[in-house]
Amino acid sequence: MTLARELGKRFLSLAVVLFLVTLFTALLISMVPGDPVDTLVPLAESEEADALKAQVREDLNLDEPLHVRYASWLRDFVFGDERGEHFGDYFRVSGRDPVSNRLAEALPVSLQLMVYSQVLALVVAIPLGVLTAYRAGSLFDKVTNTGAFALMAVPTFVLGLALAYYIGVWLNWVPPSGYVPFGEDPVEHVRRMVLPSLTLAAGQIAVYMRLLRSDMVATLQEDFIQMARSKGISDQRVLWRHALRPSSLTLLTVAGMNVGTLIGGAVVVEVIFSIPGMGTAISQAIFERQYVALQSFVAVLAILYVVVNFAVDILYAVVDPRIRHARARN
Amino acid sequence: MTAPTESETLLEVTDLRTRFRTPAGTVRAVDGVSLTLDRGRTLGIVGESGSGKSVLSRSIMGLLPKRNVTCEGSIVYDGREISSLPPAERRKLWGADMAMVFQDPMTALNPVIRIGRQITEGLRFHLGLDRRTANENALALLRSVGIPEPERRMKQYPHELSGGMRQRIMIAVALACGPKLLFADEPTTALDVTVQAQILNLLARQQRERNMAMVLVTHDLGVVAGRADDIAVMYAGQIVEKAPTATLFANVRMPYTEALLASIPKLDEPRRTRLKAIPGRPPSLIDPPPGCRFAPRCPYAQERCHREAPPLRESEPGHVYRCWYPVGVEPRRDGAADRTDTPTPTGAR
Repeated sequence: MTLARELGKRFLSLAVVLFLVTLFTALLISMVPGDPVDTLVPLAESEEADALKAQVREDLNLDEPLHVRYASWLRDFVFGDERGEHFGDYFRVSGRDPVSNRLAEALPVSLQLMVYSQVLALVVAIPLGVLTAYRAGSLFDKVTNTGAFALMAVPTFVLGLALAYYIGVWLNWVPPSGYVPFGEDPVEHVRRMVLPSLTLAAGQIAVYMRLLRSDMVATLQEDFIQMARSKGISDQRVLWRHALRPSSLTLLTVAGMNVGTLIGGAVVVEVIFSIPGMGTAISQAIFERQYVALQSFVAVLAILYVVVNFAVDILYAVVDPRIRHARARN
Repeated sequence: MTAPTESETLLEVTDLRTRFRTPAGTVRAVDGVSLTLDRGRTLGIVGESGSGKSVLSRSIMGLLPKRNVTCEGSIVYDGREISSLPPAERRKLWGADMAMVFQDPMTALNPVIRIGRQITEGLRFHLGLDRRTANENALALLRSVGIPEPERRMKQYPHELSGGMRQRIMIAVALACGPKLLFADEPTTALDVTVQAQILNLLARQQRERNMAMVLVTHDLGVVAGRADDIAVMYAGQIVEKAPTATLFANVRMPYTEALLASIPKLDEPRRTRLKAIPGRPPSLIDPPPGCRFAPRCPYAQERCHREAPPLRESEPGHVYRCWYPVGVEPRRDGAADRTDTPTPTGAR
């Protein structure tokens, strides 16, 4: 019963988030100058062209006012259109194509990129955060913190381009761009994903490390850490078994919220490294004024964001039994 | 009481000095403390907040952080000088030879680790027991510290237990590897009055059964009165009086100890009697007064007290105190007659 209520609450918040996000997207893109029909009918000015454009405009409901177009997209998104498609169509000169096809290609690629970069960020940031907290105030701590600050200050596109040029082109260790599906060639897949993942992870490493460090420094002052030490177990064990878990709630929260930042970063990174993911799809949709497709992409990412944060909420309870029991009582 | 022979001595601390470097200056938290403790005996360390009593036990054990802390002096444990041991060697003693029961059971148990593992952790680490044997040992320990339904408790987290239960768990953790020396750092301060006696009795019983020596740190003379063999009173980082318990209560020498005793409210006093608080506050440990550290608050303080620090003197075997004009020793020199009258104005350094 409590689970049903919890899920109901989540679903409601998901609906609100989706509505607001897609509405704002619709408003924003309607303000961008340019006409999708110009892209779809790439003809010189002529009477014929104008007639054709008017026809296309009518076919695509582009002559309707914004709120009608939005409502029609929303209806299709929730209930599906006459074909059962929820995401609408992607229009090209060559014809139309369901957006779901485009999503099926792009979403897994972006998910891979985000998961890789997130895992990479955590794998680097957690040990650094733990060790800098353990050696707080030491030279190692200071150097690491300064390095983290520097890394945080470098914009993604600068770092991406620098990595692509120096490591990809100059040193020629890994290909500087392109994407190979994992199923096709796992080794090549990893080689191609290293630089983009690293670029996306860099900013997160600094944030995660500093967050964990400050929470960990506070935890290490706790009585139960003194108590653990007084048992005579090794410092390593005290740090990893006793101090890490109680220190990781903030990290967990921010890692969940960071999915939004990651999506934004992925757009830049995918374009730099020519990765056919959601970022590429979105930027393409923006350039071609693909209102319907863009709204659908954004809606899917919003769902992803809400779902990830729901998962983070569940993880709290795994990390801290006190939260688990407080929830069980309610 | 027989005089202890050499091998009966478990712990001998000589001139221990612990200093903290802080932005405000160097804090002399423990300033030249010497004490000895025989096997199976109990030493009560009494003092108010900030007297250095908790730092003292942590210094002896070696639990203080290394950064900005210096610890000098000799600590001989079981015939072995341990103050100069490398940290890794010192750590081997923790849990196995000497253990500590902390003050606040609400914060000293790890909130995210099950009770069972917090007990078995030390057992497996020090004694190398396998999971099953360690669990069996932990169950036996829980039973011996009076925890009902130990099987269920093992799987619970600290927040599911009451304060008294948690303190029992903490004692079980401390006793797990059979230490010869137990530091109990205000073990009952955070507990309900009704539970305090139970915990103290539990500690006493365990100590008897295991022939374990105990350092019982407290701010409450009542706690150590019936339980400690010897009592050391600490003030401003120093031991100001130390004696076998009965001797101390019979012949108080140090005015501070007297004031501590007087500050305990008595039941037979008329209602609305003012509590006899000790006026003033303990001195700064960064820059302690040059003379007797209690002089600014002492009702009997003379000019000499503010000028010259009194050494530890022995009045009878085993009874030492740090005072120029001890209580109950006549004749008190210059102006001792007005000892019950107005105290010397404080801060007359």
